[in-house]
Amino acid sequence: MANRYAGFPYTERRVRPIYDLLDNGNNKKALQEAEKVLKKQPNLLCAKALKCLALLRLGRESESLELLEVIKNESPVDESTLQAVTVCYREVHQPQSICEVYEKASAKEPGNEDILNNLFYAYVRVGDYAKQKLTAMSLCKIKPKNQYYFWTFISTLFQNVENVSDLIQLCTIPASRNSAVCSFTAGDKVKSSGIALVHRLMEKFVTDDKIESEQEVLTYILVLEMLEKYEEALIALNGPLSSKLEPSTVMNKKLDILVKLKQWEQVHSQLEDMLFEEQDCWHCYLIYLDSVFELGKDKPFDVKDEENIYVKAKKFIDGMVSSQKDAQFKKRGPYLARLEYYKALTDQQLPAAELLGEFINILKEYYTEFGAKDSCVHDLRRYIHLSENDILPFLTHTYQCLIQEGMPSNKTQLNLLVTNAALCRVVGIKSMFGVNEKHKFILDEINRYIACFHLCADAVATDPKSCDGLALIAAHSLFELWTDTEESNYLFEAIVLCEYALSQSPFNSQLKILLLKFYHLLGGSEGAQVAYIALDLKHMQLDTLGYLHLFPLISSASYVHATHVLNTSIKFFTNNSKESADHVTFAYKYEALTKIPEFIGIREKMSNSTHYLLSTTEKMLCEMFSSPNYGSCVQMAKDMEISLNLERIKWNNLRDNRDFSVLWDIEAPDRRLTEECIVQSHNHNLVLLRLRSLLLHCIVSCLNIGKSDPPSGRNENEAPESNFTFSKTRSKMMEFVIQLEETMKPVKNSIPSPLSKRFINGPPVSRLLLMLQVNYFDLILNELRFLSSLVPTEGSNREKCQYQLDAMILFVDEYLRYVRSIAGSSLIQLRNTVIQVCSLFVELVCFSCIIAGVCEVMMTKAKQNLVKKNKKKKENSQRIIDSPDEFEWRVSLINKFTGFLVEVIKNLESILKSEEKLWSDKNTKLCELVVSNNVDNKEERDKIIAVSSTVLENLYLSYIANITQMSTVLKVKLKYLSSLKM
Amino acid sequence: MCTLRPFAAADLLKINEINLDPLTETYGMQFYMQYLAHWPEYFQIAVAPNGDFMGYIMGKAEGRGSNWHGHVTALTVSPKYRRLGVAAALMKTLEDISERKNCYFVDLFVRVSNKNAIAMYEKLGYTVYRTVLEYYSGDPDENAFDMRKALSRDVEQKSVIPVEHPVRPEDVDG
Repeated sequence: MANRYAGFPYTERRVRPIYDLLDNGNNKKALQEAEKVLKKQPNLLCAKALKCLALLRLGRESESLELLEVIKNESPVDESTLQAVTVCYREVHQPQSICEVYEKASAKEPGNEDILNNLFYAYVRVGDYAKQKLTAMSLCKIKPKNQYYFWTFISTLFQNVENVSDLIQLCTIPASRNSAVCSFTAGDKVKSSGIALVHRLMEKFVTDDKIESEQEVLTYILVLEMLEKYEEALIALNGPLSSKLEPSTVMNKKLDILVKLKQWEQVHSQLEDMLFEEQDCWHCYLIYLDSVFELGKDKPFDVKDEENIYVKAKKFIDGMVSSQKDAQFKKRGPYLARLEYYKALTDQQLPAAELLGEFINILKEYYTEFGAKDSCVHDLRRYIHLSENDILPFLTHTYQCLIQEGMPSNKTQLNLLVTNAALCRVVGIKSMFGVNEKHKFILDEINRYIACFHLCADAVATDPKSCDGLALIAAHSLFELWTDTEESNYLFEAIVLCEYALSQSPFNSQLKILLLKFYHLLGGSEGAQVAYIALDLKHMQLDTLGYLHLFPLISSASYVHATHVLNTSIKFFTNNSKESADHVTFAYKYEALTKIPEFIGIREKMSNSTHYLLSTTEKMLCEMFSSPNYGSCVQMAKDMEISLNLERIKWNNLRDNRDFSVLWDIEAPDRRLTEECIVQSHNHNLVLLRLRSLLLHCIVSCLNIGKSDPPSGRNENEAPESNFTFSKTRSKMMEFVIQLEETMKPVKNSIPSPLSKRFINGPPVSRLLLMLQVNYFDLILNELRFLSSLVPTEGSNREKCQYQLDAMILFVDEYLRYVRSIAGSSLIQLRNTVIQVCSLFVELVCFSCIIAGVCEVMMTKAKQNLVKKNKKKKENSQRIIDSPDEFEWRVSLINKFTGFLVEVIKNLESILKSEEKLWSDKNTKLCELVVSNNVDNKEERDKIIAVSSTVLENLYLSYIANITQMSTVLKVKLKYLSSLKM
Repeated sequence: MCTLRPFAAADLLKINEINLDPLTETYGMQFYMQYLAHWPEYFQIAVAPNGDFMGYIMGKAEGRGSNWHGHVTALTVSPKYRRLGVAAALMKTLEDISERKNCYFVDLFVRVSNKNAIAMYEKLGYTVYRTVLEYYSGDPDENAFDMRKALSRDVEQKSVIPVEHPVRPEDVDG
């Protein structure tokens, strides 16, 4: 082995094998190797640092941290040690310590550029702009290069703004149109003088002709904009600096500034030039129209006056349209611009038709050119409702475009048919019909879908097929019918249709998302899991789309799948939260200066993601609930300590990163997901997160009661100092109990209203509502108070204990009565509810077992204490369990409590057993086909029927799987309770 | 008809519909962030009038000497907005930037089975320069065409003279 490293210098030859072992994940060997090296060279800091890394990766965090502290105090300056230490501190989430290490190193070697560079990055990771600035200034002194000067400038700017992410808008080119008035404010005077200072320094750079890169120019413009020196910015953009920018950047930036200066004449003429060059530039049209209205303000709207700005604008756009007429590849820009102009006029309550002619004709002209494009419906939905009277005639027109009766005979015809069907849906034309007619429409859609297969037969498998549009529309319509009638057959039918269509187009992701949603709505977790896997979500998609799957799985007790999804999601989140700090350093390193606010912005967005925090909390609860006994709960709590802390959650900054736009928007206006619904759902999640994280803290704090030692009598003076006395741990727990009660109060007083189910792309129902409905947290509070009254301290109280136990019994009676009232039903939607209600009950059982475990440990300790005391016969002034009586009533109540739990479990088991029996009975038909069993084509009809039985079996399988998972948990808990010996 | 603008970091949370396309890879955050930091001008997104994301392009400039070139790392368009010339518009911005950076050519890799994409690139003036064996891992692995288009600096169009023999992925630099 030595030979392999022979070429390296002595030290490196020694440590290289450790690196290799670490790289190969052989951490144990790496540790041994490091120790071997350290025996020979006890002061080799690099080996020590690598030992830390090996320890960390072996899970021996506290040892590693101790040794790291030692290394830190030695102030290492060599690169390899510093790097290894950096890696360690990154892995334990202590970026601040990296700063300290490099501060010490830099103090030792103040002229070392590398160290200063790393010190700068260390400050970037923690967002300490003031120290960034100072470090960058030191770097400038060592090596006066532009990068360091600009690091100084940009750090100073960030130091002087309220929120760096507010700068994102200013850095966006072209600026978004609605942000003409920027949200950025320089804050107080001191701050704006900081920015002014940067301005002066940069001015000098400009006059000395020292600006080198595109990003440096953009930073200069940014500073000018921050100071609202728009004229100066324009001069810069018209001067030699602009040669460093992309021509489009210069044009867009100028335009933004002209808009800010309200120089509408110039905006207008510049845009006419730009549009002439680039007829498809949408944001140019938008600003162009803005300029028309600004210039037309307070002027008469006279369509006969050729010089009128509105008339001139019409002519301009018309000219653009006619220039397309002969083009081989027509651009939709001018056509859509005309529709947008119509809309803008209507919004301003000006008579659009007088100027632009009948609305329907504009629509038709667009449709003639682009009706067969997939984008048609998505383009037109913005405008189609502008003139309600024109909708029907327009739809008739699109129908007439299909020319012949019957089925399309070529792809263009098919595309036109799909557009027509989608437009009908977007307009909501069919919603006024009755259920029977709707059946007929959906059946027609499916028939046409089948009849058009052959037109798409030549498509590459991975390409979208036009005919799939018809299947999607039918599936959306079935969902609509389900929301209107609450008849589960429609949802079942929708699943069957999507599965059938997916068998023809296995790569269609719209179908997969629909399946994921629909399966969950019927409690079919197994089918949902298959769809989820097929979607192959990863990385940031776990944050933005994870909501589709994760919490529905947990709701329906699909523990195995839920654990898998939780693990992958949390792995991503943990890695990302470590890496995202480095991402910001990239932006400095490559001098993407005006991108830095974006980088900081997305970092904040993702680290404050509600989904992330909910997932983390839920995972920890899952682990707690499934812990076999008290000891493993305690271990679990120890491992979790770093990952969740109520104080660390920035409650006011939590972000909703869920993406609701993955499903194509082909819904009528009253069925389009509203912002209000999204906010409502996010609010549910925030309450849920609060309650669940408090529950977790309650659990951890009651575990600490078990860790407490009863005062021994001997160490009376020491006892009060320990944090683990009964009285201290009890009062800590009560703090959380009170917080939980306080959080519950407003929620109970006004129960959050349920989300509307009518939005196909809406968020799934939060578990919060069912928890509130079954008073989930009541039992938890009862049990915590029971424990609190039981703990042998001055607060203990036998009557209160008994009272809480009685309350628990009442609660459970009520709960069981409710479950029995909905169990055994043949209605599929009730069966799904039964599973969800039972799964909450199972959680409550798990929680109760944790409490029982704490009681047992506490009493075992008390008993030992009692025995000791009796031996010593020493009087104790403190109120602890000092008499057999005190001991006896507690044991008797705890025995009652565990006996009661055993009863609860048995009851629940029997309910689950009979449910399982019901579902195993293949003769009861949960759902059936009501539409597609009438499909014309017999061969395909048979296929659909075959798919329907597979789907049905899949649903049964899910129910039984979920029940089995709950029963398994209950069995384990029952065994655990019987093992407790009082 | 779209707004072309530089891709912003926060857009990563909104490109799901596009990325669910079977041939579009969703990379780790680090990958995107590195491109955004290193070649922000080469990462552009097309936005539809209704606010939908229509497609995006991600690229870079690399290579030494006469190999200095623009590279298309990812180009994708939502199924909703195909057949509208969005990809061509995105490619044009990348070519324009590469021209300004004085590149000799632009290159890209495409699955040999992706007939539609290959046809589109050909229409935009790209030709197959060479075949890269088993470039795409999967079951089975798939070959890639390395396609190129010479830019004005390469007056004699030397960069696009096809290479007869296929190469292995490890022999592809950059």
